[in-house]
Amino acid sequence: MNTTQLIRGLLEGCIIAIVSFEDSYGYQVVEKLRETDFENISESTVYPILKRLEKKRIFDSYRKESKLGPPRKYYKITSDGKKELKEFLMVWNSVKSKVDLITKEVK
Amino acid sequence: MNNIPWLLVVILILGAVATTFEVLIYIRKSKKVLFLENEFRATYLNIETSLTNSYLSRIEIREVMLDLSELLYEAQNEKRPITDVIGSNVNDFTKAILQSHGHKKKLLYILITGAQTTIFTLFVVQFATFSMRNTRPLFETTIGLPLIPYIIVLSFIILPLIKYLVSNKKRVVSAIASSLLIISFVLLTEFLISQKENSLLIQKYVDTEILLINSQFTASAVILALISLYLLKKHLQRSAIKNIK
Repeated sequence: MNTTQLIRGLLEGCIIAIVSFEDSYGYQVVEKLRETDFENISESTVYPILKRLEKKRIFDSYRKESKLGPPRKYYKITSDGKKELKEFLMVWNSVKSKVDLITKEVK
Repeated sequence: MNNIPWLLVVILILGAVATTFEVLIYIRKSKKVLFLENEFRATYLNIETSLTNSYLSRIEIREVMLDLSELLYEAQNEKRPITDVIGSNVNDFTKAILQSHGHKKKLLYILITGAQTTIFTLFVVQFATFSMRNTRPLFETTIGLPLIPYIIVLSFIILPLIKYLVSNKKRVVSAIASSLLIISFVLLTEFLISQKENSLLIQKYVDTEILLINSQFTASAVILALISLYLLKKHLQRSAIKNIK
């Protein structure tokens, strides 16, 4: 399977997880993903996902003045978002344990 | 032949007003993002123009553009290339934004907007003719039939082209190109009319006037059509948002 496809599928769940830790703005989310080895991730990938999650009411948002430049938009997880994150983690853990089991035997 | 100066004046005024309006909007938009440097600002304005021609409502566009100004500003400060933010293709980035809003039917949107502009302009022309000629009552005022195809061309081709040109990076070149577009449109119109002796189609157009709005009933129908188009546009925007996967 193509690595990019696999990563994109997981990216939405990871972004929800990042915002669930603390309210975050777009660039901050990109930086956190980069810090955790999602090296090729840029705003062009993350921004449409943030927008979609906001439209689906997974996130709320508010603007905060920035010292320089335009005000920053912070995303905040909603109760629907928390449910979505739980579901994502359940599915991910279930898939991960199955994959681990198989790959362990392969090793 | 009495129609010719009147027709040219109307087209010239419409073209000049549209161009001035677009240039003023562009300058006003540019001033809002002075904190962005050349390439970043040009990309910002380019995306804004693309979104203006989409299904997005004004509020949605304002929201997206505010988000984008923030992302571009952060990248500019970090001295990162613009491709880091929007990827290698601006159109793909715009498409991704539209998809995240559930918008897909761009052509339909352009057609609705063109129809709105055509109906509204014809409506205004009849009122303008009534005010200027001042010889017949409002509901008996006729307008030249040639105006209709020309206004359609203006609404569906010239105005969208001017919008596109004004959003171009090279502003002076764009302003000149927009003006040339309008002038060539006017000259072509004049040429076609001057050739009317040799053209049955033009002859028919020039010598015929029509009563566009002949009663309160047709006036109401025109207003109703405008309202319906507006509501259709709103409905498309709302249903697009519902369709987000």
